[in-house]
Order: sequence, then structure tokens, then C-alpha cells
Amino acid sequence: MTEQTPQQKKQVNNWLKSQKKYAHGKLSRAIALGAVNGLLMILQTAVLAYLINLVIFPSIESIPSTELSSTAFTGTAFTDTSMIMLALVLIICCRAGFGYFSECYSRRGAMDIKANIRSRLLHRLFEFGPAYTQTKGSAKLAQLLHQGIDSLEDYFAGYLPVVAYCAVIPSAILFAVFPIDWQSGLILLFTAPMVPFFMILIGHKAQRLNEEHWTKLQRMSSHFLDIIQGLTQLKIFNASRREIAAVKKISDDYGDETMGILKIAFLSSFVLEFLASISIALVAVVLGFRLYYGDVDYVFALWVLLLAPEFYLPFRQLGTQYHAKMAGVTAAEDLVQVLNQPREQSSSKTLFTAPFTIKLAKADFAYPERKNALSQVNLTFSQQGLYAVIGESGSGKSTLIDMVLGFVQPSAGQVTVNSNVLTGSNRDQWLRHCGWISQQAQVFYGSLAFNIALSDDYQHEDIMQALEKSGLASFVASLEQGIESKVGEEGAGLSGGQAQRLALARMFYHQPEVLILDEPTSHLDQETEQIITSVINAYAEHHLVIVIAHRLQTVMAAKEIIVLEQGKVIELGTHQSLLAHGGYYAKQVNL
Amino acid sequence: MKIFFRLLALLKPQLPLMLLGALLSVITVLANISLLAISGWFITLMAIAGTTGITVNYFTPAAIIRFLAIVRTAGRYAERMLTHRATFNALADLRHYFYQQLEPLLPYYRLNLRSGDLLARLQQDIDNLDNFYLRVLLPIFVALISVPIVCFALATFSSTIAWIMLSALLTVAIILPVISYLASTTLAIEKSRLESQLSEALVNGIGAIKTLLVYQVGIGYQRSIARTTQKYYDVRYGLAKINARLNALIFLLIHLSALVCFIVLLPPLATADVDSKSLVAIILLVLVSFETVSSMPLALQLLPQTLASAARLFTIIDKEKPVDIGIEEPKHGDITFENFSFNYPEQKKASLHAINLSIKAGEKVAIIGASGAGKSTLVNLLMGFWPTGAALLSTGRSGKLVPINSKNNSKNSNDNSSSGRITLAGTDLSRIKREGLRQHIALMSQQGHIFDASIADNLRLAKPDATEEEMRQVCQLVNLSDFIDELPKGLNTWLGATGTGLSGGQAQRLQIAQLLLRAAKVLILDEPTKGLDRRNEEAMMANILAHVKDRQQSLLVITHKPLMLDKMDKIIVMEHGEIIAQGSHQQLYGDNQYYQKLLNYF
Repeated sequence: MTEQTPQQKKQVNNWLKSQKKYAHGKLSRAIALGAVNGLLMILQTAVLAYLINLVIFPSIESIPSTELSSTAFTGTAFTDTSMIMLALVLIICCRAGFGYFSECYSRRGAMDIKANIRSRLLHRLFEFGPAYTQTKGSAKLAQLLHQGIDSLEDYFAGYLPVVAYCAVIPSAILFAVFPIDWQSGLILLFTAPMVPFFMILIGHKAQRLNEEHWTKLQRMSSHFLDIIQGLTQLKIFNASRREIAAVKKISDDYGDETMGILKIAFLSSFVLEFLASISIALVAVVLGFRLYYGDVDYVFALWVLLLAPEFYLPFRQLGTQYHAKMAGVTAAEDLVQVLNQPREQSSSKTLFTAPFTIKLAKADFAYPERKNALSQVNLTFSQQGLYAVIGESGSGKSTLIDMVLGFVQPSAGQVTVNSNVLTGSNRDQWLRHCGWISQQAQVFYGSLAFNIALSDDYQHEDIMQALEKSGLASFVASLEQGIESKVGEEGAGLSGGQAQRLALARMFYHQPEVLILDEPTSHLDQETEQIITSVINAYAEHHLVIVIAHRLQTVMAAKEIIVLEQGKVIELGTHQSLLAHGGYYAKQVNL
Repeated sequence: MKIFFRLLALLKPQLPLMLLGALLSVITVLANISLLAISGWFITLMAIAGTTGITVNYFTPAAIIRFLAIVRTAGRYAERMLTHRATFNALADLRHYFYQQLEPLLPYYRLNLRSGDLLARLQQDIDNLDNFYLRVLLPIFVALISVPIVCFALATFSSTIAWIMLSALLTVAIILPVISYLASTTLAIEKSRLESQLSEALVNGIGAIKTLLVYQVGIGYQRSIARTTQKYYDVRYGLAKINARLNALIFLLIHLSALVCFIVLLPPLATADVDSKSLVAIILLVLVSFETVSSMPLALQLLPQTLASAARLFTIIDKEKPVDIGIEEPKHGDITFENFSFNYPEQKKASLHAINLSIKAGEKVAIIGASGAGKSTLVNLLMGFWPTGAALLSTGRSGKLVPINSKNNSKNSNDNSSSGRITLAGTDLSRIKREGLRQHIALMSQQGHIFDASIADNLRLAKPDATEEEMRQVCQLVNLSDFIDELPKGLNTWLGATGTGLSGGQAQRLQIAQLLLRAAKVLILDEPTKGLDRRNEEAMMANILAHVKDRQQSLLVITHKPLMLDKMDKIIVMEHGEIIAQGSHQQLYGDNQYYQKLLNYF
């Protein structure tokens, strides 16, 4: 994690506070109820003190009792006490109710905010597309979307309300105490600022530690996923035991790290409790001696004593919530980073209509810290037919495809579709016409039918047709549950060829006008390859098909063959013309 | 309950630290309670002294108050340090334990353990377990010890009050939480389920973002995440409401029971059986005494969640582990398959059928055939991931005594089954130590994984003590040197999340480089040239052949490309789980039609 400037920190804090609006007033309601609850607490302690005083010193306290009892029979201590007790019960019930609703509102409010942030973040990621998620790391982003956002709950439901209570409740207590006993009031008043002072002092160090902690947590999480995904590989190398021993070390380190942070948090609450204890003791002593000299009424002394711990309670809660605050702020830093990433604002509704002519004009592209993946590429894909892209691995074929799909924008030059410039903002409209098949077909956990339609709402008929065309029909028929059979992550349960045919079926179901394939047959046997090649060739008769190919068989029928080397187009033409040209291509074929 | 004790047993190594922490907790809580009670007593004493004019000894109570204040503050700090330390130690132990248990299950149950789900389980469930000691066990321990002490102290003033408080404390500690426990069990399970569903959907979806975007299902996916989030938060809100209700009830109970105690004390006060100082002390004591059980509701609310997490962890690791009877060291020699048939666990169709095959030491063998012909299965079995032969006979599991034919084994539910055997130098493969076997036979699998680490780290996985020289040499063999030399950090370049920095072909070659580092007697390459250009392919295969010849290693290559087949000693042609032909290139080229077709492809 990079060092944050104070300005950035302020920005993050402001961002967090601005999220309150997504709770639609629930948080404010929660805070209002909690504050009223605090004021009732002052009343409750007063009534309790009065009650105790009444039974301990009945003779002294006969005068105010007449004021309180408005019933027909005045004066008797019994009626007084029962009335007061009734009032006390009433106050207690009110407080319980307020507490309940305050808690409910704050939780619901926090969840509303989190759900909203998750939607926005996910939406943003889909705007940025795969180029962004790949550089950021998809495991990391998934973690941010889940645990990262969830760790904001205590910030909104815990920390924010407590901050408000810290302002309201202690000042109300001071307001009540000062007229009665200004000495105690002064003690409370002067110790109160010490609390935030110490907390800031300690908090600064904790903040830095906490940032490191968060990075550690994320690194640990992605490390664990890595180990799980590569466990078989580790076993093959007899390295699984060793790596598992490393898991223990990483966890231990994480524990040590967290202890370092907690130590600071505990220290801060230690200081707080120490301060609170000292001043309560001071108040008690002062009151004790004033009582001794008859300087103050017992009822008031008892009230102040009961109020003193309550005075520090919000600050102590703030101490425990401070950790929640910091966890929230660090999580928010990453969120803000993603959400503040510049994007193209114009929601220009470009209408793409078939047939398509895709043009790359002087297109350049480079990944960060790498030399140009593509430079000065000029290409035209028009109407229909098969275009084959060939070249060494690392020559920029995949980048070219990503550019045609609108996932990466050229750093110089441009990509146009029917003379509309392809940008991040009209990408989704463009993709509506595209189909894509990768080197290794992505198989989602779910039924076969879901994998083809990519939706639970599918046409049974169309699915069967797609399966037929892709040559999977007999395989599916052999399955007990047919198209409802579940398939797993990374295509477990399907062979490589079957997964690839599944991707073909997906393509047939969606019938894209532009089909793009990335080495569709690279790890298939020749039989399957032949089937897929002929299927693709047939499809190319009426659609635009761009294929990255390594196999000459696929390439031979192409309308145009594009040969890439180190990000540049070095040859362009049909099989015949390139053979005649006698360059790179011809050399490959004659191998 | 079983889960509870099983979890407890796992925490055994941390027991001394945990007990010490718990003891400190009890002392701190009791100090806090006494502090307030004595303060109240002191104030009243001073007030009475003030009104009546009697001199009193206020030094002793003041000193006690100071002492208790110190015990409370320092005790709290020490207690927190100790208990948290114990918690983190326990967590590291548990995480380690869980990985250890998981290790034998992969790749045996590959289909069921989806990594997104696993990640969720690991992260959340193990983290949930950190509640177990700190927020579940500790509060129970504190309540068990301090409640009797408090009630005993109260009984010295009034047995009625002691009984009232005992029942009030028990209500707060057990009855109310149990009611909310019962109210929240279904929600807690639902919460865990939705939590892992959400995590899995996020991991899978972000990973497959390209496909989702191209097929225009990004919006649908976002909606489904929003729906899951909504459901998840609804469930969590349900739990939060139950909790809020519980808190409100507890608040009522605490304050009302103080009032009840007050009323109960009025008659004794009138008859002077209880003095007014004690009255104030008792009322304050009653108010604070609930601190002994204040964490119990949370403890009992977390208990079902923690146990649900533990239960799910245990379900994974309790899956029956594949049998391992390996005891012998591997000897160098021929690998033979003797009338060998096999099908995967939880799959009805046989993957291999009546395989008879012998691979001599030092031989170069190619396996060709259509996808799904069983080529990968054949070589994966040589890694010993699935028990075969003697291992199945020795345990009498599933129907392996019955020869496998397509219909017969459809009833076998969970285990893999096989008949016949695989031997290495005459020893049944399953009798050979797993690690020794993998030392002897090295595999580059199709499902290889590049780790989120540097290129050098990835290479060192294959050979921990590999020198830079060796690493550079193997990279040279697979034509990766030019690429690596261009990188500013060379071999120390960090490969991004799951190796994004590499193209498919580069990742492939890195894995071959790993394999070449292995000092094994047998090297197996599962489609080594997929995604490579012919030029790359040919150069690399020539290098590999020279490498194995140099080291007298046997070579087993799965391929579907005709290249280099004439340089192999033997070629095996597979179809539908059977070997349909084997022989040298010349033999097969002469009389096998399928093989001819394969070669005349271009």
C-alpha cells in the first residue's frame, strides 16, 4: 500500500461520511433515538437517587414529596415511593424500547449502505472490464467486494452513532451536574478533553499499523486461494506439505501483526479506563467530604456519583469503536481507489447495425511496464468471412482481440466499427453483437443448459439445437439428467474437447454477428478440431469470424490471414498470396 | 455437541494460556463489581457521618477503592493481551490443521470442492472460529465462576435477594440467550450458506468477467449479486433484530431487578436488619453484577454460528480419504498396466478399460488419441492420486473385485473403482510411498497452476535447491530465456494473480521448465505443445529429447500433434478408454489406418 497523503485520507473520510445518504435517514433516526435514550438515562439516575434518598433519609426529604404526589392522599411516604417507582419503571421501559429501535435502524442503515456500495463497485468493475480486473487481480477484487465492504458495517452501525453520542450525552450530563456541584462538574470537564487527546496520540500509530494489517490480510487471502487452486500442482512436486507448513507461519505472522495492533488498542482503552477511574474517584472523594461537612444534599451527591461513569461511557465506547473506524477507513481506501478511477462519462448510445466493418487505424497498445504489445496496427475486418490471426506466442494476438472487443483502448490511433469510434462507453452496445470463445472455455458451476444460455431463463428447443450443432447432443443424451446435469468449476467433469464444444454451443445459442475465437482448437485432438474447424468455416459464410490460430488447417480457408510479429503486422493476405510472397508464412507452411 | 467437543479437543495445545486468561477475566470482573458497591457504601457512610457528626475511618475504604481500581484497569489489559494471544495461536493451529486435512482430498474429489466456495469456507469459517474461545468459551467460564461468588456475597445480606439475583442472572445468562438461540438457528445456517454463496459468486464472476461481458450477461450477473446481497442482508438483519430484542429485554431485566431488590430490602431496612449503607451497596452491586454474564448472550448467539462453521469445515475434511498403503521405496524399472480398468469417484462411466501396457526404463513413449480417450487419466494415475490395485483390495472398498464393465459399476457411488493393477519395477504402484513415487515420476499436467510468486519461486517449487544457473538453463531449453531477459527483474519478476503476466504459451513453457528441473526417472508431459507455434514446438521438443537422453530419463508424452512421433520408441493410440494400437512409428504407419489419418492431416 502506498503512503496516503493527509489530503487523500480526508477524501476517504469524507467519502465514508457521504455514504450516509444511502441509508435513507435510517442512521439519523438511529442516532436521534440513541441520544434521547441518553437523556432519559440522566432522568433515570435522578429518579433512582431520589428514591434511595427518600428511604434512607425520610425525615429530611418530606418537603419535595408533596410537590410530586398529585393524588388525593398526600404526604404518606408509601404513596410517594410507589409513584416514583412507577415512574422509574416507565422510564426503564421507554429506554429499552428506544434502545431496540436505535439498534435496528443503525444495522439496517449500515446494510443498506453496504448493499449500495457493492452494487456500485460491481457496476464499475463491469464498466472497466477484464483488462482492469486482470491487472488488479480478480481474487483481490472479489475479496474487496465481499469482506472489504462488509467490514464497513461497524463503521456505520457502531462508530458513527457513538461519535454523535460523544457530543450529546457528556454535554447533557455536564449541563445537569454544573448547577448542583460545580466542583465535580469541573473535574469532569477537564478530564473529558484528555480522552480524545490520548486517543489521537495513540490512534496515529495504530492507523499506520492498521493499514499494514489490511494489506497483510488481503495478501494472506489471495495466497490461500492460490494454494487451494494449485494444491494438486504442489502435490505433484511433493511440495504440498512444505507449503502447508508455510500456511502456519503466515497465520502466525498474521496473529503477531494483529496482536501488535490490538496492543495499541488495548493500551488506549487502558489509558481511558485509568482516566475514568481517577476522575470518578476524585468526584467521589470531593463529594464524600462535602457530604461530611453537610455542604451538599445526599440525593444530589448520589446522582452525580451515578452519572460520573455514564459521563465516560460514550468515550469508552468510542475507544472500542475506533478499531472499527480504522478498519472501515482502510477498506474504504481501496474502494475509493476503484470508484474514483477515471472512466468515460459519455453514455453515447451508438447504434451498431450489421453488417460490420471494423477498422484499426495506427493502433498502439502497451501494458504497464512492458514494451508495446501492439504498434501501428492498421487492419480492416469487413462484412463477413473468416479472418485468421497468426504469430508467435507473445506477438500481440490476444491484445489485438481484446482491442476489437473494446476491452482495451488503443493508447494511440483508434478502432472504429462502421465509422463509429469504439470506446469504453459504447463497448457494451458493441459486445451485443459479439461472441467469444477462449483458449480454455469458461465453464460456470451450474447446469449445462445454464452454461449455454448463461441465464436460467432459456429456450429448451434452442439449447437442444445448439448442442446438436456443436456435436454435444449424444454426450448430453448419455447423461442421466441431460441438459440439467451440473458441471463444475474449470470444467471438471467435462473433457477439454467437451468444454470447448460447450463454448461452441453457447455461441450457437446466442448467434453473434461477430464471432471471435482465441485458439479454439489448441488442445483438441484432430477429430474434434476438424469438426470445430468446419463448424467455424460454415459460420463464417454468413458472419464475421476472427480467429487466432496456430493450425494451418484453420487458416487455409481464411479470407485474410494476418501475421503478427512483436506487435506489428508483418504479412497480410490469403493463403495463396502469402505462399507466393514467400515470407514468414510460407516458411511456416513449408516446415 | 459432538462438534463442540471436537473443536475443544483441537484447541488443547492452547489450554494453559486460555485458562490463565480466563482466570484473569474472573478477577477483573469481580474487582469491578466490588469497586462500585464499595464506592456506594462509602458515599453513604460519609453522608450519614456528615448528618450525624460521627467520626469515621475513611482511609480503609478509600484504600480498598484505589486498590480495586488498579486491579480492574491493569487486569483488563493483561487479560485482553493473554486471551487474544491464545486466540491467534489457536487460529493458526486450526488453519494449519484444516489444510493438512484437506491435502489428501485433492485432486481426488476435484469436482466437489470448488475453489471459490473453499475460499469462502476457509476465510469465513476459520475466522468465525476465532469467536469460539474469546466470545464463547471465555464468557461461559467467567459466568460459571463469578455468578456463584456474587450470589454468595449477596446471601450474607439477604437470602431472598441472593435467590432473586441468581434467577435473574441465570435468565440473562441462559434462558434469554437460549430463546434467541432457538429463534436464530435457522437464520444462522442460512447466513452461512448465503455468505459462501455470495463469495463464490463473486470469485467466479470476476474471474469470468470477459465471458459475462461478451454474452451480455453482466447486468444479469450484477442483479443476481444484488439479489444475493439483499437476501444475505435480510438474513443478517433478522439476526440483528433478534439480538436487539435480546439486548432490550436484558436491559429491562437488569434495571427492574435492581428495583425489585430495592423493594425487597425496604422491610429489613425499616426493622434495621439491613443498614442504609448496605442498601446502597447492594443496589449498586445488583446493577453491576450483570457484568458477570454480560457476554453470555453474545456467546450463546455466536455458538450456533461458530458450530455451523465448524460443522461445515468438518464435513469437508471428514470426506473419506483415498487409501494410502504406500510403504516401499520406488525402484527403477518398467511401468506396466496389467489388464487395468478404472473409473473416477462419483462417475459412472469407466475412464479406462482393460489397459495392457508396458513402458520400459529409458523408453520414449507417445500417447495419442481423441480428447476424452483417457490419455490424461492414464498418466494422472501414475501420480498415485487415486488408489488402485492392492490399495483397493486391502480395504475391500467398493466393487473392485468385480471386473469393470460399463453397467456394473454405475452403482458405485463415491469411490473410484478399478481392477487389474499398475506396477513399477514389479511392485504394485499403490505399495510405493506417495512422495517417493512423485520423486521417481514427474508430471506436467494439463491443469497446471502458476503461483502468485516470482518466476524463480515457481521454478523452485519443482526443485527447492535449484541454482540460478540451473533455472536459466531449463528456461533456455523451453525458449523462455529471451522473454525473461527482457523483463527488468528477470527471474525475480512477480507473476500477477494466477500468473496473468504470462501468455498461455509462456505459462505452458514455464511448466515444462519446472518439469525439466525434476530429477525424476520418468518425465510425463501432458500436451506440452498446446498453444505453441510450430517453430517453438519443434525447437523445444528437440531440446526436451536431448535433455532426457542426457539424463537417461523415460519420457511419456501425450500429444495430438504428429510432430516428433518418428523419434519415439513407442506410440500408443487410445480411443474411448482403451488402447487400440501400439507400436513403433514405422509399424503403425505401415498398418494402422487411424494413425495414418492422423499423420496425413495437413
